[in-house]
This record gives sequence, C-alpha cells and structure tokens, in this order.
Amino acid sequence: MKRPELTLGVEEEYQVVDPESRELQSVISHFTSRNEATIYHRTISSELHQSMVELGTGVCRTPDEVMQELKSQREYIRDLAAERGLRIVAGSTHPVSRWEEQEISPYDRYQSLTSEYQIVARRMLVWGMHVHVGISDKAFLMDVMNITRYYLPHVLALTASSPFWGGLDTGMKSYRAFVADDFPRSGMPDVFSSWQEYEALANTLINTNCIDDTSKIWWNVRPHHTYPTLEYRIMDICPRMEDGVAIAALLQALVLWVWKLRSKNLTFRLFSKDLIDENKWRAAREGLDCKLINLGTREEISARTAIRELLRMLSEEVTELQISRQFETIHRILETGSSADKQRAIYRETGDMSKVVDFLMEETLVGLD
Amino acid sequence: MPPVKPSLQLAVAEEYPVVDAESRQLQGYINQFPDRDPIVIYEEETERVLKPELAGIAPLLDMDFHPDVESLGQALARQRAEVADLLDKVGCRMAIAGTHPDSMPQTRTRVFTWYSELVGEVAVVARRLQIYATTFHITIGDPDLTISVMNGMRYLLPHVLCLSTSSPLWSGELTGLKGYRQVLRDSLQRTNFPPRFASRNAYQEFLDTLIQSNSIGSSEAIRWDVRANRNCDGLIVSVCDAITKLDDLLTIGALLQGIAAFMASLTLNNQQFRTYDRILLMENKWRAMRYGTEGRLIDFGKETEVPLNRLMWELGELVLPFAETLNGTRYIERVHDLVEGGSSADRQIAVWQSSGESMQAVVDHIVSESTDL
Repeated sequence: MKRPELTLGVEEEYQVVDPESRELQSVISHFTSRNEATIYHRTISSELHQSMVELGTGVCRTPDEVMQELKSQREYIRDLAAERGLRIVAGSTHPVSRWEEQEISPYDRYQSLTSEYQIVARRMLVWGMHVHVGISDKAFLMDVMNITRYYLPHVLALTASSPFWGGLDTGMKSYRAFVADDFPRSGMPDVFSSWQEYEALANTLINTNCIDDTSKIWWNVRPHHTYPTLEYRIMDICPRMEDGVAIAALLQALVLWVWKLRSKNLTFRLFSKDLIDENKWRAAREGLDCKLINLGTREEISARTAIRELLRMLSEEVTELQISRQFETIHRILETGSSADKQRAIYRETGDMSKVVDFLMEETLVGLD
Repeated sequence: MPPVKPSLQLAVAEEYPVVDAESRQLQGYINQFPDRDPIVIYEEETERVLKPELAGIAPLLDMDFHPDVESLGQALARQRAEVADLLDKVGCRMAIAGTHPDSMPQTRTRVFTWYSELVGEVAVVARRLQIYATTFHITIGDPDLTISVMNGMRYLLPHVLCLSTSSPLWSGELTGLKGYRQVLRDSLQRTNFPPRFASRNAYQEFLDTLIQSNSIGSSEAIRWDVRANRNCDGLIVSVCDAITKLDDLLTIGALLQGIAAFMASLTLNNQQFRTYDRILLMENKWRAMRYGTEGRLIDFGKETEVPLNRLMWELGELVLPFAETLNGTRYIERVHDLVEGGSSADRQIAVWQSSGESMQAVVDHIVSESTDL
C-alpha cells in the first residue's frame, strides 16, 4: 500500500472583539461582502455567529509551511479587523460575551442550521481548530480514524482554551468540548469495520433525509466530505499559533505511526467510544492536570505522563518528518500548561475577566509581524 | 439452563419540581429515587423555611413494584394528591415537566447535592442541570435476558421519548425543541444510548474496566437512557422527560412494560430485534427531542421516514398481545390519542403562544395538569 500523503491543512476560527468593551462584535457580513476574493489559497468563511470568522490554510507539506500560512492569515484578518478598530482572538469560548446576545450570520447555511437545530445552534458560541491530514486511501483512512481516536483526549488536554463561559468560571478546562457535543452527529465516533460500512451509514443518513451530505457529520474526527483528508476536530483553538502548529505535527506523526504499524501487519487495539469518552471527559474537565486511563491496563496515569509516553512512542516519526521543534513546543505546553491554565491564573490574580480577554488578544498575535 | 421467564414488575421514580404559588419560580424538587435525598430545596433561605414543613413528604413516596399499570396508577394518584396537599400548606405547587420554563439556572446560589456529586465542582454544568425525569424500573429476572432486552429496547426509546416530551421552554427561552432536557442531560458522562453488549459477561467486562480505572464506584454511576440495575435483574429507563399528566405516564408505562415483554419473548424464542448502529438511533432521538409527537421517525428496516402515529400502530400490534396479559390494553390503546393530542410540550407551547408568551401561564398550566388526577 502506498504511503499516505500526510499533507496538512489547518482551519482556525477567530473571535472578533471590541478592544474597549472586550465584547464580541458582529461583523462577519461586513468582512465577507468586502472580501469575496480568494486570499492566498483561501477565502474568508462566515461562521454560525456574526462574531466568528473562519480561515483555512491551503495544502501544506510540512508544519513549517502551515506556520507560514497561518501567520499570513492571522496577519490578514488582524489588519482587516484593525481597520474597523477591532481585534481578533483565538480562544474557544469568549470569557464574558453571552450567546443570547449574538446575531446569527445572515447566510442561508446558518439560517437553515438555526432553523433545524434551534437553541442547540444558537448556544454554539464556540471556536475550534481543525487539522486535515491527507490520506487518499479510504480503507487506510478508516483504520487511522478508528485507531487515533484513542489519543484524541490527549490532544484535547493539550489544547484546552475554554474555561470561561458567559462571565463564569465553568470549572472545566474545555467547556467548548461540552457545548459542541450538544449537536447531533457530534462527539467521538464509534468504530467502523471498513470504509464501506461508513459509506453505507452515510448513505442511510442521506437517504432518510437526516442530512444532505456528510458535511453535517460533526464528529471529533471524520473523513472530510470533499477533500481526501481525515479531519481532526476535537481541539480547542490554541491562542498561540505555534501551539496549533505543534498539534498539527503531532497528528501528522500519529498517522505516519499507524501507517508503519500497518506496513508491518500490526494494528492498535480498538476501544469502544464509551471508554474513550471517559478519557475525553477527564481531559475536558481538568486538562493536563487530569489522570487518563490506560485502557489496556485499566490503570490511571497522569495526562502529562501519558502524553510524554506518546511523544516517545513517536520518536522515529519525529525524526523522519523533521518535526522535533514542534515536539519541543508540546513539551513546553506540558510544563507551562494549556491556554486554559494561563487564563485561569490571570483571572485568579486579577479577578477581572477583561484582563483575560486582553491576554488572549496578545497571545493571538504572538509570532506575527 | 433455560432462560427465566421475565417478571415484568413496574415501578416509577417521579421527580416533582416545586414552584412558589405566587411567583411561580422554582424552589426545589421532590424525587422518589430511593438512594437520594427525597426533598431538595435550592435556595438556602427557602430551605430553612420549607424543609421542616416538607419533611412529611418522604413517607408518602411510593417505592413499590407493581404487577400492572392499574395498580401503579392508583399508588401514583394517591401520592401526587398527598404531595400536592402538603405543598399547598406551605404555599407551593408541583409543576411536573422536564424543565421549568423560566427559572434561570445561572442565578442559583446553591448547587444541589446529587448533581454536584456527579460533576464534581463543575458548577456551571451542574447549574444547567435543573432537569427532571420520570424513571421507569422494570424487573426482568435473568441477567442475560436483562442485557438482551436492553439491547433490543434501545431502538424504541426515541418513540417513547416523543410521547413524554415536556421541556420546550428553558431559562425563559422557547428552545425550539420539544424535549430540551435530553440535550442537557446527554452532556453528562455515560448518558444517552448504551452500546450493544454481546452478553452479560461483555457488560460486566465493561463495568470492570470503569471500576478498576476509578472512573466509577459501581454501575449506579451509569446513566444511559436504558440500563441494567445494580443486580442486573431489571432495567431502568430514564429517557422520558418528567411526565406531566398521570394518564400519559401510565400509557407510557404500559408501553414500556409491553416492549420489555415483547423483547424478552423474542429472546426466549431464539430471536432478537435487529440492532442498529447508535449513530442511526441517535438520529431518531434527535427527531424525538426536536419534534416530539409531530416527528417523523426513521424506520431503519425500511429506510424511510414514518409519522409517529403510524409507527405507534405498528408498535401497538407488537406489544398488545403482551399488554393483555399485563392488564395494560386500555392504556396502550390511549397511545394514539396521546400522539394526536400532543405531548405536554405541545400544550405548553400552545399556552405560551395564546397567553402572549406568559411563562406564568405556562407554569399554571403545568401545575393544573400535574394534579389532574
């Protein structure tokens, strides 16, 4: 079997905020009506709420290329916002703005989503990061999806950036993970025995008018409906660009690791969604401070230790893909905590949510010109 | 060893949200779960005032299993009437529904104990869980048969949920759903549909993994929409919103008892109800939450959408032979009236609309139906 392409693409969703009030601003229809032209390889996409902007990189061969593209797109949207006196924030929830007060994007797709999903859609005031890894062989893609589900709670713990919601400390590190799962067809997928089984299921959903196409399947990891990619969607967005790139590198290495197993006629044990969900809850709740379950030995192990073991397991792939710098970034996150830890520390210190927004605005611009 | 004939006794754990008769605001709730505090009052101030007065309620709560719906109905009618009388004496009412229409969870100062145990210190999560259920307990007997019935029953839970929906309003918002409670509930761990288990041993292995990894202390921390009880000799069905009208509750109880009897009978005849992927079952559950009795559920055998009423005719044909032996026939025959007339959610929305969006009018309506015995 041919080695997978392992190309990368990253989509990021940004908040647009007023630097004075620190509240979210409804702007997307202004942005998109002015900028319908493609920017580099991408177009600005509107998102569900007016205060959300989504941008995606083109097809990148390496994490370094992803970094370059993300930098360009963050600079672009930063400047566009600045022209209106606004700022961008990469964070998975806004610390104080409330969903009840947001406007829904006027575009058909989002009006129709709101019409179908009602309060579930209106509450979806969360931002994420999606990483695509190129795998054109469908049978192998399904293998990778089944196997790598096991490590998604680890990835969520590293990226958690949504401890606050509507002015309250939620007690969780990733409250977004919790809100996003309100949608049908979300959360962790079950195991599929083959690509054909997945296709049959998707066809049943389409034939019975549950969905028009598979773009309305919002699992934490899914085969993309258009691109020949596996799309990882479990992550909170990382305010710091380099953290997000490191996560993309980690996912790329994981896919290569599965391919190497496969080429030796080996695979990884598959666990039920219900057991992986135990780890996901722990990761969403306590982030890097949680204990994850080694589902094979049934033992609890600190998330940091579990992630360090994962990084060691991927050492060959790191060398082959030349991504040691990105793995150093992950080691740094393990030491200093995810964005959620930093946000909570600032709030504890200042008792002021607006300081958290200020911090997020600064972090979002780290590494930009 | 031949499988044991299912016992099919029925018990119900109701939850009664308690509202102030004047303000109509939520004060707390009363529940029948034997392992939980029967009376939970939310605000500390209110608790001091109300708790001693309400202490007399606990002995009134019916914890017994009943051979049929008739006997269950008599016990619950008595219970609802007695609890309503006691509440009346302290200026409160019971408003039985999956959610209170406009109580604002964010403003509560005290997170009530049971849910805060579930989610640790996750206050925001616990606060939004001011949701109420009617939980059915059905005895089966044999553990293997219990797991087999659980597997089969999963398919029909969305059908049952449609009939019970009573949570269209939440935090002062018209949610656009008929059963918003399930959205809130499913955000907890170990909720929603269980996986299909090949055997009782497979189920036990699953439990062992969770227990050994300190995820749960016992099977009671599992809150699937249908699950085995502690001894694995009966099922607990918690898919239903708190059912406002007692008549509706008894209809749904008879239906569940009939479904359990039908599924057990298949197993005893070496057959089983076809099992479908949870992803497909979830589609029907979403439709049930979203549209309630107006929903068109999918018949996955035929891969077509079918109005609930027609599905209920088909289901009625399957379970009626069993209902006859369980004295449940006349209750199951009411299913079509329930579908045609709508669930509590439909009536709440109608009152909300006709009263100029008055939440107080909706609460009054729920109170009135809760005590229409």
